[in-house]
Amino acid sequence: MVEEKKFHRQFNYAFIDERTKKEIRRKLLKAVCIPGYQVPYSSPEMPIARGWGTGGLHITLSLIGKEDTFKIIDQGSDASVNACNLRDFVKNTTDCDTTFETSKATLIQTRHRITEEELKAHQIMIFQVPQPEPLRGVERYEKKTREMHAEADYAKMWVSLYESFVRFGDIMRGAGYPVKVNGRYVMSPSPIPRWDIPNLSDAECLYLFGAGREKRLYAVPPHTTVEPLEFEDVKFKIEQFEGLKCEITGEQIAFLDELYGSDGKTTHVVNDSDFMDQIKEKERPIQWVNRYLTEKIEKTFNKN
Amino acid sequence: MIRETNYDHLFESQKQYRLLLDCMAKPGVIAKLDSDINVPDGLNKASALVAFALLNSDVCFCNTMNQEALNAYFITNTSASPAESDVADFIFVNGAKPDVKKVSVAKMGLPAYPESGAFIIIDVNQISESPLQDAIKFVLTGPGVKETKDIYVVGISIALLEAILERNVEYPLGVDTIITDKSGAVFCIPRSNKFKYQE
Repeated sequence: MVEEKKFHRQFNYAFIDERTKKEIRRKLLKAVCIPGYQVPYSSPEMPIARGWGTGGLHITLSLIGKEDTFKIIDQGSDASVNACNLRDFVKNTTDCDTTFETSKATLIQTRHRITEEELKAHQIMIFQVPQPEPLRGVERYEKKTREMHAEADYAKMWVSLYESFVRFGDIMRGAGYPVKVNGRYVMSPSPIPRWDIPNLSDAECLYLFGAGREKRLYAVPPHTTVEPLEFEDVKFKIEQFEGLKCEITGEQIAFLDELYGSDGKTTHVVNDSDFMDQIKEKERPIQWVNRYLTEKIEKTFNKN
Repeated sequence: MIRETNYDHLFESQKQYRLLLDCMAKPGVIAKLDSDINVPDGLNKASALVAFALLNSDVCFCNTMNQEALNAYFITNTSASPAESDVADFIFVNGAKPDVKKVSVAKMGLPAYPESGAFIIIDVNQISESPLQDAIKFVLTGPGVKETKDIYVVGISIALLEAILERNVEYPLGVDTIITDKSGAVFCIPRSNKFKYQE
């Protein structure tokens, strides 16, 4: 390998070469210009396997500079293996600051969660996406799904949701609930829980999505309408966690993880590790506001 | 031919790209692009910095200002190749004296691949959030804008705006616009934005 003499390193700043970064940057701009549309990109080789967060990593490394503060979470946790390894990799190749605190971060890479704390206009959230195509479950060929998106032909998707309701009495999509962006494209929000879906709509921050294995980028700009697909008589709803609270903090209004003890008992804790730490050590951070959460708060506290 | 030896293609382009991304994500936000470069006459410095941040040998550009010096400048500093406006990925236009015919044939992408639509980079005299004399008022609405946002631009032709609006009628097909002024200010109008203008 040719040594990078300027910085005494054996790789370019932020690992990816500048030519590829430019390609990713151009594609990201186009993704922002067409909210919800999947832009194909090169998905260069990384030192981790595709499917382990390369899409998110490509976006992060294309955007990041020395002045950024980087945070990465995996299923809400700063401490999981995927998050720790990718954080070390980004830190080693960029010398940027890293943090666990959501409010201090400028770039937040995430796997399968949106932070419980509301994000601000200067922040960018980057999703690692395993399957970017929301129509793949109803149409196997890429050429066909491209045509369906081009013609805004989402009939098969609606039928699949209807069939799910007929068979099971509900729309059986827990994570990755399909949404319509800006009234045009149906988009996979990556496997975030239903709890997080309303936070995509009309947010202050920019959401970027990268699917490295599938070689697709897409985006949801701030103040963009993102609507979960629902029927007039079968409405979208978020997880309720009725009667449950966090074992450690007593928090009731947060997405909860279910834990199994050695005695067979189940307990629940707040899924977002920074949100839980802030509640424990400082004060409760400002949470997202959406009508589903408001209903949940009213229901919880009126009952109590 | 000017080779920009002071420009840092690594860190400066990263910083300027981030500003551009912010402007594109939030149409109506005005950012300042600045660097120690010597652009040829007839080109705004910010337009050159947009080119440095986004162009390389993978893309082609059309310089409707039609000055050989500008073509040589972009080729030397970005390695991008010049092309006709109907195939160019980036089209550089003078806002006050535009070659509207070239903008009206700009690439607007294909239904299955709308991202292949062109970027239009327009040089104007002044951009401001507050009213200016002889300015055209842009009223921006759409993704990235909370309700509406007004921007005032001096030195942009109505014919050019009509050509861009016409190109963007069949959303998601269309062109994406980056407007720069002489002081280095820049704002963006993605194709998803339904802007109106008032003289």
